[in-house]
Amino acid sequence: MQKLVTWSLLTALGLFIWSCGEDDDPRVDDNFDQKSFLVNIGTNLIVPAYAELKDRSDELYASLQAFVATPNPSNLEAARDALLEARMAFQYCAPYQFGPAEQLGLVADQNIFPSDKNRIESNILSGSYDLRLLSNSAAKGFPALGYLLYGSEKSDEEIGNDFLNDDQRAAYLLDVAETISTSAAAVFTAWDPSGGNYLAEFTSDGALGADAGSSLGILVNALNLSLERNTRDAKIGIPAGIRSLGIIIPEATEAYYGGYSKQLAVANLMAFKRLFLGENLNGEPGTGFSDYLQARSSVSSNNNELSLEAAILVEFDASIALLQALEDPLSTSISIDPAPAQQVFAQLQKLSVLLKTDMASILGVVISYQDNDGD
Amino acid sequence: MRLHERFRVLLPLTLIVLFSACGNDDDAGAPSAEVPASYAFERNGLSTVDFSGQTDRLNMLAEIKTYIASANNGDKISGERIMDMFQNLNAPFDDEALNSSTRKLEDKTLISEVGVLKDMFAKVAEVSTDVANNGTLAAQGIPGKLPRGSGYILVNEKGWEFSQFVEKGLMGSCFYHQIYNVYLTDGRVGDGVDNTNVVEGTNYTAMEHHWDEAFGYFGVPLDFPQGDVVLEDDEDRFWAEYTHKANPFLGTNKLLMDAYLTGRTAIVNKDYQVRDAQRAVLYAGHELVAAASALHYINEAISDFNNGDTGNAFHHLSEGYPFVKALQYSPYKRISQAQVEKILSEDLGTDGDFWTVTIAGLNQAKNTLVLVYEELEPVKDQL
Repeated sequence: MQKLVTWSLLTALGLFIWSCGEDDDPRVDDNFDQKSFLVNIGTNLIVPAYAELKDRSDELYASLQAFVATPNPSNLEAARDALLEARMAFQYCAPYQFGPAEQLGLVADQNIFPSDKNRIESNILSGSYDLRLLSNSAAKGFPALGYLLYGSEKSDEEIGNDFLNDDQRAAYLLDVAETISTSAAAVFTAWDPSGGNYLAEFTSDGALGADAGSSLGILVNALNLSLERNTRDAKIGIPAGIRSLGIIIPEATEAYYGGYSKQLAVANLMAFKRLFLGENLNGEPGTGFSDYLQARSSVSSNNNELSLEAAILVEFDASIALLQALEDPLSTSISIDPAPAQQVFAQLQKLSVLLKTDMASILGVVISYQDNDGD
Repeated sequence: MRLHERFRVLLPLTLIVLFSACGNDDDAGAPSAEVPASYAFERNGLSTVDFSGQTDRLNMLAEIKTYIASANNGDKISGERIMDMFQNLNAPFDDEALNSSTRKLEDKTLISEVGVLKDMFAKVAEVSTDVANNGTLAAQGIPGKLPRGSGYILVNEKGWEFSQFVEKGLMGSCFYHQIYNVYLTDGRVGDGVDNTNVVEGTNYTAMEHHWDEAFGYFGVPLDFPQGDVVLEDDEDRFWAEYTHKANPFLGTNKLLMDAYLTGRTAIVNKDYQVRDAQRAVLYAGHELVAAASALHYINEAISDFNNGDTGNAFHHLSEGYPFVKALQYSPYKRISQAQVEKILSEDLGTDGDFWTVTIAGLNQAKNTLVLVYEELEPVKDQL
């Protein structure tokens, strides 16, 4: 049978190489310098966003250590501020959940919501838990810290005392913060040119083009998936009852305990808009998707008067304006009247269609992720 | 000899194979049959192809899967009925043709897996009853229903979804096992097998028929992959489905179909060197499809992790785990038994307990698969 194995290798190799007729190289794009587009996105948007997340996560960990050492109201306030800063930084990383972030499970470590307070309390009580487990994903991350630092109805004094009197609670707080900080550092290092340098891979000649393994293909899929599933559905649609026959789920908001879910959502949408325009974290211009679409002189499907890039910007601005008009705490305002949030959902749906259908097809990208149903 | 050394040494030979595959030279000497475009072979104007026994078993598994999956909707299901379906006793199938068939899955399933499956049949019935009566929710160590999307899946104490473990499990321990360890072996298609006389009452030789039976477990249409819809809905199942899913990344449709066609033609021509070459392609190609399918579901699980989605993660792991297990059934497998066991008992959870899965473990499993199956490297994140 040795012979059989040898033939196996031979013939398999032969058949893999053999491919009669190749398509034209799809990596050539006459009208647009895809390389400098990717370099701008990678160098001026993605890497700085992860650097910022790493710094804010480290500061969060440090401020929680200070709070645990001296759990007084002013240290609590500082810890809460640091939590908000880190969560804002996360919003600018949200469109980039591919490559290192996906492989290392950044979202799983940082931002699964709603958090599961029963699981958090039972972990604290037992003192024995493995935060790496899927079953603990709703018991860690920023939302869990939100629960621990805001509680539901306790005074700041009482919250501080909880940590003063309960070593396991304090230890849990720090374990969650350490996981956040380690995870952010790992993703940043993986992208960092002086670390894993995924940036080089992202901007390499081999990753040009629009096919499934290309950087453009990966980026367009990732941003659409995140916008649809995390922004439109998780931040707005689910709490506003879109997935539950109109039944409002206030506790499903992103920052249910902190009360700033809307603020996070606005930042998140700004991050997508800047990615679309190619603007860096400070809002300075660069080559973005808008330039790419302009080079393809495309027209939008929902408004023939406008170029596609202009039509997308209209939907971005409308989404941000409607979102801005919501009131924090979002959990309270949607309980009083869910209609404005449902309007935001509908508006985000319009934006999503243009990005997922029109933009992806103009750029020649196949959307390969699926909705999670079927068998 | 290391793998790539072997490739280098044998590269010139490979090119010869390549040429003979691509060219249409007709100077072969003795009159010989051409490789047909689809799986049709004749003697005296009549077909020599028959794999109805395999098709019956594919249909039986389809019914079993559907029946077990009905428990996901909250229905109580009967362990006796699943056992009857596995053994084809007491007319258990909706399809009357299956009830009157003489075939059953049980006697073709790898003997060491039969007991495991029967335990699982009993368990799923027990759990479905408990869930129907008490609405028991699954947790670590507790079988029950687990929310997934807008519905539920029924899982055992390790989070294994019963319907997936039975379906994907039998794809390996019955269908692949039969291809690998029965029909493609020397005992069935080797030089000692009769390829001269037709089997009494039939129009095929024993060797021809055994090859066709392997093809039957592959389960693709005769004109695969040329159909306008490559796989019709009722054909889009089992290994046909997963070969076709891996195809955009690995070219598995043509790889496997050409090998079945070329090998079967070689048997007609009594050209046993070519037959053996195609046998080897089939072993390697089928194994690669299982590896690619396993990797696909590990990727899905990584993505589910990032959504904090336990229901989908366990569902996808319940597909990936049996695909990893299927790798071990090939006698010429490229992955080592130790590597398979490490994935099954550590990387995909301690002793396969999905409640203990970590993203690091999933990446470990992924790395092992990509290391062993180098063809997966360029497409490892797209699969």
